[in-house]
Amino acid sequence: MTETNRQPSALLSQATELLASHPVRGVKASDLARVLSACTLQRMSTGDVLCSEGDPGDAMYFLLDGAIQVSRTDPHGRVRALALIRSPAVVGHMALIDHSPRSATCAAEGRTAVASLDRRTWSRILHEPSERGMALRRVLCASLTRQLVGANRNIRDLVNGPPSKPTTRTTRSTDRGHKSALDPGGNIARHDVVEEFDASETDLVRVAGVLDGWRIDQSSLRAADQLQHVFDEDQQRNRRNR
Amino acid sequence: MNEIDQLGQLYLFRSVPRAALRDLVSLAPPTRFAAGLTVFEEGSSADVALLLIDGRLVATVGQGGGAKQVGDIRPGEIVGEQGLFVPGGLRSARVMAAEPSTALLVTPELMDHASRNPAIVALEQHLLGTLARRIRATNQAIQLAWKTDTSAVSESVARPRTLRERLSSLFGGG
Repeated sequence: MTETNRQPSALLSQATELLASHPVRGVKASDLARVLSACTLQRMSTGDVLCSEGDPGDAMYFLLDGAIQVSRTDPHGRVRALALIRSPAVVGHMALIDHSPRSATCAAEGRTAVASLDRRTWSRILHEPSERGMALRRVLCASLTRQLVGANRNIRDLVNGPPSKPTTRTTRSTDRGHKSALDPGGNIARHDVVEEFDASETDLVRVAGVLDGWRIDQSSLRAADQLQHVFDEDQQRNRRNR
Repeated sequence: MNEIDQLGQLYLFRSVPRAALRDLVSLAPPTRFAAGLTVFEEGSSADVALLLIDGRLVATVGQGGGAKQVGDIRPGEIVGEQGLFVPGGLRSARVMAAEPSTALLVTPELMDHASRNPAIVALEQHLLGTLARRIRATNQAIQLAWKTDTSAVSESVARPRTLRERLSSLFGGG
């Protein structure tokens, strides 16, 4: 079901919830509500597809209610779940900003309400010297900042090793060895933990997911061929965009 | 050339009226940094960004011999923007002047005060593009760390072998 999103009290409430969940400096809920008023409201049920992997980005979305399942297709044609994003959230904006195709498929999980901002309206508001223009620009800047800061933090953890915790002994094992080195009860020097630690493929995919704005569900990232596929796809996409 | 002329030559301000640039400079007079001066310290509070007007800045992470240059900032580029929109951030790198430099100090207060100034609108649009480029560049660096083939590396050549070492060589730290 699609409808124009025009009820002022509902818009203000939705904007307030979005900003409470994702604080943005200098943005008032009333200004973000003006952005939402320019959106089309979509009410969706489980399985309804919001956008599909590989499609051009023709809109960005404010997830107002419910949840969205993010998935990608592996080389064998199997659809693999990457993340479940719950409301309130902002999704699908990277494709508008850098003209990249959709990096994943988004489908409703349960009863879901999404405010869609099409590219033409998005571009018009983005260039406005108005309060709603400022609200949109800053919501997007804040979202990208969080993606970048989150990824940088993850990379730093991967390079430096996890924060040291008391341990009784150390064990050498897998590329996730830092976890087994963190037994409670004793002490271990930080550099000793780092010596045992190495980043894993899953760690890298999680960072890439944070960069793309997805919160990756690690349990869904076990297959090495899938990991390869994720990066191959990204490289092809980047080549196309150059 | 005065500071307004210098700002007007930056690509991000190509469509901004001179009067708007004059207002911007009156609200945020450009600051000069001597070569070698540390502008931002890694780990400090990220409460102001810099728009470089003239000169060159470099960003490094890590200390002493382990320090790695991760950024080379040229006129028209912005650095340290993470505190502008998201409160509570810390500097992820040390930034210092590689040569005598002039920059506009961009604070959240300036952006709020001048939110309708076309120069601030242009700056926010420029920031969106900058952030998107950094995300793509980081993504490509992660892919490089993942893809680097260590099996064919000669033992006589010291190259990063583990994923951690590869990440460290690309992003610094360790």
